[in-house]
Amino acid sequence: MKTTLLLLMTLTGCSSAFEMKTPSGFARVEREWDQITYKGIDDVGLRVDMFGNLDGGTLDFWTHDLTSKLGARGYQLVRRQPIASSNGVAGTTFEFVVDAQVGEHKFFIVSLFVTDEYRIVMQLAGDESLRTAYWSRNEEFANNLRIRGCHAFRSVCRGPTTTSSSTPRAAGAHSHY
Amino acid sequence: MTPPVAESRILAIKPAELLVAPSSDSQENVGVSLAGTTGADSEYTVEGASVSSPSVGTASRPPPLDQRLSEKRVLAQHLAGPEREDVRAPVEVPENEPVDPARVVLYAGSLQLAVFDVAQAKQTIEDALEVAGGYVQRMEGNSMVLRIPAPKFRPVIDELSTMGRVDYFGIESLDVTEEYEDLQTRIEVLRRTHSQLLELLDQAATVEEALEVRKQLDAVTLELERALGRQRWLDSRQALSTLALVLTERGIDGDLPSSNDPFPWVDSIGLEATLWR
Repeated sequence: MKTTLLLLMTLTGCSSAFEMKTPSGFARVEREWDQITYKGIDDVGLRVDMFGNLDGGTLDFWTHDLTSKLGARGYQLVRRQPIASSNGVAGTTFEFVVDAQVGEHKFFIVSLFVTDEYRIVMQLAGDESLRTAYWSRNEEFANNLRIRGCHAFRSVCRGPTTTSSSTPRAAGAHSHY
Repeated sequence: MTPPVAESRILAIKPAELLVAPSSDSQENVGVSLAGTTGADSEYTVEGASVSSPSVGTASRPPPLDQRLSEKRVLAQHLAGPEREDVRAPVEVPENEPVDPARVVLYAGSLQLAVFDVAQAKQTIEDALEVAGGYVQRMEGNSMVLRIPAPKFRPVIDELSTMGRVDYFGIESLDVTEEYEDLQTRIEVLRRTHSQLLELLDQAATVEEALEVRKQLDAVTLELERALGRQRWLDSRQALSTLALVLTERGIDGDLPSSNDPFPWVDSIGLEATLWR
C-alpha cells in the first residue's frame, strides 16, 4: 500500500502527506517520505507517521482501532481532546497511562489526524515526570504540522471526533486523573 | 567426578508456595525446604506474562525454541552440577550436623526481560543482588547467571520482574534428597574407615605393612574428599538458588504483537517506536 501511495505521490508531484516544522527544543533525527522523528533535549521522542487511509476510514473508525489495540497492549486511555493541524485538519489527542510492565514509568501521547487519503499519527513519549509539560505543549506541535490529502466536498478532514472513551482497561490499571 | 543425575519430576504447586524460606536456625544448612509439598521436583513456567500477575502481558511471545533450549541447558548445567567447585560463595557445612532429613531441593529459575535500557537494568540487578546477599556468577553479553540466597529467591524475581516486560519466566526444582542421604552415609563410612586405617598405620610393624596401609589410606582420603566436595556443592546450590536471566532490548525491530488483523498499523505505534535512550 505504501508503495502505491509513494507512486501516486510521485506522479502527482506531492513530496509528502505532511510537513512538520521542527519544534523548539527538538532536533530532527530522521526524515522519510512517510515518517519523521525528533529527539528532545530531555530525551523525549516526537514522531510523526503517515499511513494510507481506506475507503470508509473516518476519524471515529481509526480512533476505535487505535485505542482498543493499544488498550490490549497495556496502554490505558485516560484523556482525550480534539485537536487540529496548522491547516485545520481535525484530529484527536489521546493521553495514555502505560502499565509498569509495558512502560517503565513513561508517558505516551498520541494525536491522530485523518484525511481522505491519509492517517497521520503524531506520537510523544518520555519520562513520566515530563507528562504534564508535554501534554500542554501538544497543541504547539500540532500547530507545526501541516497535513495534505483532503478532498473537496468530503467531510473526513473535518471530523467529527467522538467524546466517549472505549479503551479496554488493563487488569489492575487505574487512572491518574 | 560426574555427579549422579537426580530424578526429575513435575510438582503441582502454586507460585506462592515455592521457595518457602527456611527457619533462621536451619538456614545455613537447609537453604530451601518445602514442608508440605509432594516431594517431587517442579517446573513452573509462565510465558509472556507478569510474574506477579500472569494475566498481564498477553501480547508477548515466548522466546524462540533455540533460546529456550539454551536456557534449559543453562538450568540443567546448574542443577546437575559442574565438575568444578563454586569457590566464590562456599557454604560451610558444620561437620556431623545433619541436614534437614525431610527434603533437599535445589531451585533454578529462568527469566527473560525486555527493557528499554539494558545497561541501566544490569546496574539495577546488581544493586538488587547486593541487597539480597547474592551475586552475579556469570555475565555474558545480555545473559546473566545470578546466585540468590534461597529465602530471597522469589522476592528478587518479583523485584526484577518490575523492571520491564516479562517475556518468559520459569522455575525448576531438583530433589536431591536421596543423593544427599547416600552421600552422608558414604561420608560416615569413609570417615570410620579412615580412622581405622590410621590406627592400622600406627600398628604397622614393617615398612611394607605401613606402605600397604598408607596406599589404602590415600585412596579412602581421596574418596572422602570427593564426597565432601559434592556435599559442599549441593549445600551451596541449596543455599543459593540460580537464576538465568536474559535481557533483551525493547525496540521497534523486536517482536510485535500480531494477529489476523487486517489493519496492523497500530503494531508500529507505541513507546518502542517513539522513545529515545
